[in-house]
Amino acid sequence: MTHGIGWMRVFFLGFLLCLLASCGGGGGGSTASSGAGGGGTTPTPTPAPFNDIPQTDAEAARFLTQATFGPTSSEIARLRQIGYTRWLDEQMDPARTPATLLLPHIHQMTVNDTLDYRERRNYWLWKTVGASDQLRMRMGFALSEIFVVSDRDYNNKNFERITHYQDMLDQGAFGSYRSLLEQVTLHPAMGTYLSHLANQKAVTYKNAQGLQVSVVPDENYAREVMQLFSIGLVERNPDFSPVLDANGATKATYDQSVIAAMARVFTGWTWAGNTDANYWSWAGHDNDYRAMECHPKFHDDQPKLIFRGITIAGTSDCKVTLQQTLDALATHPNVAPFISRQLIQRFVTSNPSPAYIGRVSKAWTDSNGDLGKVLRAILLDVEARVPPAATDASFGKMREPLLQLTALWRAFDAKYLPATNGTYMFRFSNSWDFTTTLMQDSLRSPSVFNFFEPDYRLPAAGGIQGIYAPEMQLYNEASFGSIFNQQLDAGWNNFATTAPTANTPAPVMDINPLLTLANNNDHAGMVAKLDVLLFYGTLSPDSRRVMVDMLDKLKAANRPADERVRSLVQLAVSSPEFVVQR
Amino acid sequence: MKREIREDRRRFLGQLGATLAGGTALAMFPQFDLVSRALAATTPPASGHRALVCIFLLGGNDSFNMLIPHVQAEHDVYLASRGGVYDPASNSQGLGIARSQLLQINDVAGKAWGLHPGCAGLKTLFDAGELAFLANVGTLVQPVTKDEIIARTARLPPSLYSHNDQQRLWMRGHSESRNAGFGWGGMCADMLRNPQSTNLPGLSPSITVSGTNLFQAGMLTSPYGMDSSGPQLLRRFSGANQPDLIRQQALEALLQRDYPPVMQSYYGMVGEGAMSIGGTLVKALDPANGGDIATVFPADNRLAAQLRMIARTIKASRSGAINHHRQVYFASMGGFDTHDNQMGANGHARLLTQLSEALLAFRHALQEIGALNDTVSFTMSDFGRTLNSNGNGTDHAWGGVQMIMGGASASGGALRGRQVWGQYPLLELDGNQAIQRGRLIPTTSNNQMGATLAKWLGVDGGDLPTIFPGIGNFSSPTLGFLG
Repeated sequence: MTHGIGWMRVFFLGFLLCLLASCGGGGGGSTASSGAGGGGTTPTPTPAPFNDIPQTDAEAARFLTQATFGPTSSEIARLRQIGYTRWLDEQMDPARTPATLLLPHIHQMTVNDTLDYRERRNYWLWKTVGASDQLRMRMGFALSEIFVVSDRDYNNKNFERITHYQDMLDQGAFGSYRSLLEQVTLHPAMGTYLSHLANQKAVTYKNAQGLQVSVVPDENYAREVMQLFSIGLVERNPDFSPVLDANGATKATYDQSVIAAMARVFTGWTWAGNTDANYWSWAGHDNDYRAMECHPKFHDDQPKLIFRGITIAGTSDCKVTLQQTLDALATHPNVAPFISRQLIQRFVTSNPSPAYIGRVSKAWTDSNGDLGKVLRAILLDVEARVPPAATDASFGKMREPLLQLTALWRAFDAKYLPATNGTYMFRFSNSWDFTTTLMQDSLRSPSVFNFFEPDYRLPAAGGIQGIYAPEMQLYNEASFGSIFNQQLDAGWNNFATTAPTANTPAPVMDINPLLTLANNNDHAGMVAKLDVLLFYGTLSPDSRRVMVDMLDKLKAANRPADERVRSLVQLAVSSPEFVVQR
Repeated sequence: MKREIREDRRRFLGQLGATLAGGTALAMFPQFDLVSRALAATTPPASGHRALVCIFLLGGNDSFNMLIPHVQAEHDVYLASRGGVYDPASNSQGLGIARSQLLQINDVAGKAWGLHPGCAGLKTLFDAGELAFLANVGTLVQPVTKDEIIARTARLPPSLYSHNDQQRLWMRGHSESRNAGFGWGGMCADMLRNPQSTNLPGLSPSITVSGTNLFQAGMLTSPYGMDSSGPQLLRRFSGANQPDLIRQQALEALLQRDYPPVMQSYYGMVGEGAMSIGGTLVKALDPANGGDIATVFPADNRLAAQLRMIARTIKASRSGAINHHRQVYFASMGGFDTHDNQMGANGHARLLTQLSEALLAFRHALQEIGALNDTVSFTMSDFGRTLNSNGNGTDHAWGGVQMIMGGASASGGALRGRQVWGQYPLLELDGNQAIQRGRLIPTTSNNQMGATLAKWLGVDGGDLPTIFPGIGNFSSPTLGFLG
């Protein structure tokens, strides 16, 4: 080990700390993890050791960091007034908080060659900053990273299809998993993405070349609906721990024969409005986003032996087959822990304790997969609400880069006016496709495996498994730079003292609160202001010192007040304590 | 990096080395055993320059439509399994390519093979002895027969046919368990003692131009990432003027601190690496400093853009600008999951053409910089695909064909090219080597392929089982395609 110290990237340190702190258990204090670890033990309800009314701005901001696209001063004040429960009630009540829908906006636009997928993305992104249905949009975003479809293959056409799909996820955000799974399955955006649209039962025929051709049902959706959208690869206890056999080995949830049977389930579905004769043809714009319809002629009508020894009865009615199969998927014991754990990861922490997953699984099972109740259980769990101990090595998650961007905009009360023709065409650098800079975008994944995987782990030394850190899969030296520069493009140049009165290249943020402090050279005050909005009051003394020190030095170098504001904000949003939320 | 790695992190590493040598850490953390064995590797310090370039074909390449039988009887079997010659009008569900359409190549033994008609670049490379194929290679725990699979007595890799699981098994050195966080490329980099680069002591010997990946995750090394245009420099937080420098120092101070939360520390280390290496590496790659290459790469071809940046980096690595001796690169290309529209416009043919053109340009660039004989490139892919149709494409399967590209042995290179290594199977749907829909049971392990490449890079034969723990299950740990 005398050579190459420099290039040995030092994850030992973190990893050792991780070992010593017995990480993997998650944070939230000892109450949360007591009784953890036993496979399948029934969790006992734990009384909430936290107040429903947040006691400080920081506490409120921490909740809003988990549940929204970023805290704002007004939302913090409101949450402190009404408390978590009422806030959740309001957010989940469509009468009081109507869903933001994207398709009506698209329909107001003239769909032509100059309009493309960015109109959907930009309109959505802007609404995440200003719309009131924060929790619904945030849940829709999380669901879009589980039920993945991507608009990569059709930039300039048919993007109403994926817009409708996104609205469907938002509208189903607090509804039943089972019905959302059915909507996802039958949506043509999914049907084209995972190729079960116009899938047909096995056929054998002699072709024009005199060869016997055997064509069998497409296995694409059959596989991924199980592996990614519902039950996963191995049998799970309610706390997500794998079920082990007598030899300590995991048990597969299905094998290739089940995939083949499931492929036969998803036969007979094609574009709404098609006839048997044009089963394979695109039905035209008017049917582009209507649910797929069943054509018995193309459905495999034989019995199908799927997982857990379940046989789907033979029938030519694809609707009946589908209902039975989706019922079997939705009631599989794996669904609750498999999906609950991913939702916890999207909102709260990458390494939830088994007990935490167990409690959310129970909420799932008790409510028959009511996603609203599941989300409540996630956000009101003791492990989510009680901040982790400072020494807790593993609690928290990396903010997704898109959420880093929205947190910036929301913290500084960004304002934006669409162009006179009604379009939301952002014109700041690289805003045409955030996958090239932020390494993610809305419904634009490179594959059905999303931009990052729930099981991605940090590197660690010596044969040990690193902790889970899904979003960190996006980060390396290249993306560190591109994410930094994208934040700068959205941030640095777009602070102003007055709100915009016409369309601007980017949302414009209010510089005044920080500028006033900067004009008074109150550098500590500037940092304190950021502490609540961007760090929910957890900014460490060391980091504060570095930030204040930078401002002092810039002042000494005669840099103007507004440049000090911009410098501080950019430093803050690229700092470890912002990027990794706790 | 210009500065040495921060003092406390260096001290920590030193302590770790000491405790490992003394055995104390082993008692505490038996998991360190693997590290200590790696550190005890006998591999001598490297000299000269050698690089491995992994090109991962994401999604599962239908490689039996890339290298195709040409002998009439074998091609007949192929066509029967593939539902005849594809014809959009009269045989739209066929997946086969007519024998007359194939680009014929002849291996050193005189046997004729067919290349997909879009692969003219591969034909050039093969004919020159600079390309070899490895047939029916896949993930295996040990050799298996069809009978053992049917009887369910075979020890099989976990989650066959699943994209992400099989990608991991290709990237890792063994196929038995689902977990483990290291790739064989990263472990090679661990073992090969690069003397420090004077200009860029912080630069990892593993470099990716295609994102984070398990292949390059080592126990001691993790890859340095850049994109096809090179390192990304931070605007307003790097540079020579005073305010930029003030901001840079503040950001560095935040990134270099240790944070109790592991993720914060890890993020800090990534950022620290980006800031300390980026500026120097950009200078090394600057055309004004001789960092460019003249070879023209195909446009609108993402793989070509990645390989072009790799060629420029290899050039700098062989010079004093970086002066590395052993390197492992990672590039990738997506789109191979052809469940749908496999034979249509913008389908598999276009992917193969892009791959073929990118590889040929890369070869020319390597020759331009004098690195052709010191660089071995190879493909990996999730799996092969079913030989029969799902209506409009193919589904996930197992064994497939991979490529190895390098300097021809006749010209002083290492590659025994113009050969089809391994055993190219008879392409039956349900024959002795196939399961049902033409899922081919591999006859060569991806670990044998990896071990052959690792050994060429410089890993001592005795250390191969550390990287490839299951390699002893196969009669020959390494294969003959590299001399």
